[in-house]
Amino acid sequence: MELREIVTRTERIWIEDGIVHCVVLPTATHTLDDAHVNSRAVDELAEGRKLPMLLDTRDSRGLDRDARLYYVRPEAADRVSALAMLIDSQVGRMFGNFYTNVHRPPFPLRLFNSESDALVWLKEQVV
Amino acid sequence: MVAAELAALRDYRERTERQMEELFNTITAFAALDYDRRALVHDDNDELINAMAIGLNMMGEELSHTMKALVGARDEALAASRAKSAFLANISHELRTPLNAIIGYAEIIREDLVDAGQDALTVDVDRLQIASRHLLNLIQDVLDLARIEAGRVDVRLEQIDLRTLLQELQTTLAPSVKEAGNVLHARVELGRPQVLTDPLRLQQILLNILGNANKFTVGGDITLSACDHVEHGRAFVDITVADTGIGIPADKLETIFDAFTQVDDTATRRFGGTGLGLAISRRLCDLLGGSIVVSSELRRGSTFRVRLPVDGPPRG
Repeated sequence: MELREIVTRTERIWIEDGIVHCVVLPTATHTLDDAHVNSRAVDELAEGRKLPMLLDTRDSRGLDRDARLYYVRPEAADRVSALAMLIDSQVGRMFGNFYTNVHRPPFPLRLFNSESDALVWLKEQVV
Repeated sequence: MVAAELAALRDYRERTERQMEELFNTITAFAALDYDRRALVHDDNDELINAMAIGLNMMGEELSHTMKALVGARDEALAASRAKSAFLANISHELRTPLNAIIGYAEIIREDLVDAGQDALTVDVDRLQIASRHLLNLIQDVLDLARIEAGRVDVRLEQIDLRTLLQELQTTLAPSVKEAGNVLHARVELGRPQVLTDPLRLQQILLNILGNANKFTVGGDITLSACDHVEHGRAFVDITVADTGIGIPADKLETIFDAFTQVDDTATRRFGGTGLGLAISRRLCDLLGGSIVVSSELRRGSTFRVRLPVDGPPRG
């Protein structure tokens, strides 16, 4: 089956085996507008389902405060059942620490160095 | 080949230095409390440097947000405190006016009773007057504190003879000291008794401390002393009130200058008072450019020291 993928200014997003994959692109600093666009893209692909998400921020160029807060707003829990973050890079570790210690998301969060380990955990989180 | 590698290395070093300088400038701005500066994130940066830049930027945004929230909360709290003080000042004035009428009319009734030969009935009127005056004193304390906190207290500086002021205080307190079975000693050792201060506020401070010493000491000694003190080349006077009373527990020494605080609630009931006297005294000392400190030992007594600058509070 051909996977449908949406590429925005800041992310490449697709769904595979019931898991939302988001890869942050090294193109620009995420703004609140980018966060809205990316969330709409996830909604469109998920078609209303609440799914676990694999987030790869390893090449990120950063995201501003409004965008960070938007991703962890309480309503985000209606769309995301769990979040696995790949942190096997220095930028990845920065974001992992931030979301673990500063603004915790309203759904389960775990940090992984390995994508395969992250996928195993996420499959257990499928609602 | 070697030349090309050397050139590449030189480029790398120069680029890294520029990137590090960018991070350094951002950190320097944060150190100066400018949290709005952002480090640039470049595609050709090392990953580690980009990670540090992104981390610094997030830290700056969070610090900026937190700082603004704290300043806003502080301003709101200050505004609320000023509103509370203004309310207290107004309500205290409204309470004092009818209370003064009660005290005045009680005095007239007392005189009428004496004139009518009904001396036996004056006991009840006396009780009415005592209770009214007590209530008036409490309201006066609340009013004083509210005025100080609202910044409505003016300090009227003048050259005073401290020795004379202390003698007058002894005279004022003599009856109540005698009534409590205490003895008041005075030791004034001043090279030059002239002090630039507000005599009424200083009297208020010392009357409060001496009054407390007399209240919490029974059949003991109270010593009022004054001496010169020089600190960092500046001349001060130290006025000390030491008593042999009940003392203050060590863990309460920090809080006795807080408003509405006595050593414990039972002390308020047993010894009376609002618990505002020392809070007012400390704030008045601040206004006079001085300080007030206490040392104490339980069941041995307490010593309060007021230190005032001889040449008045700092101007401006």
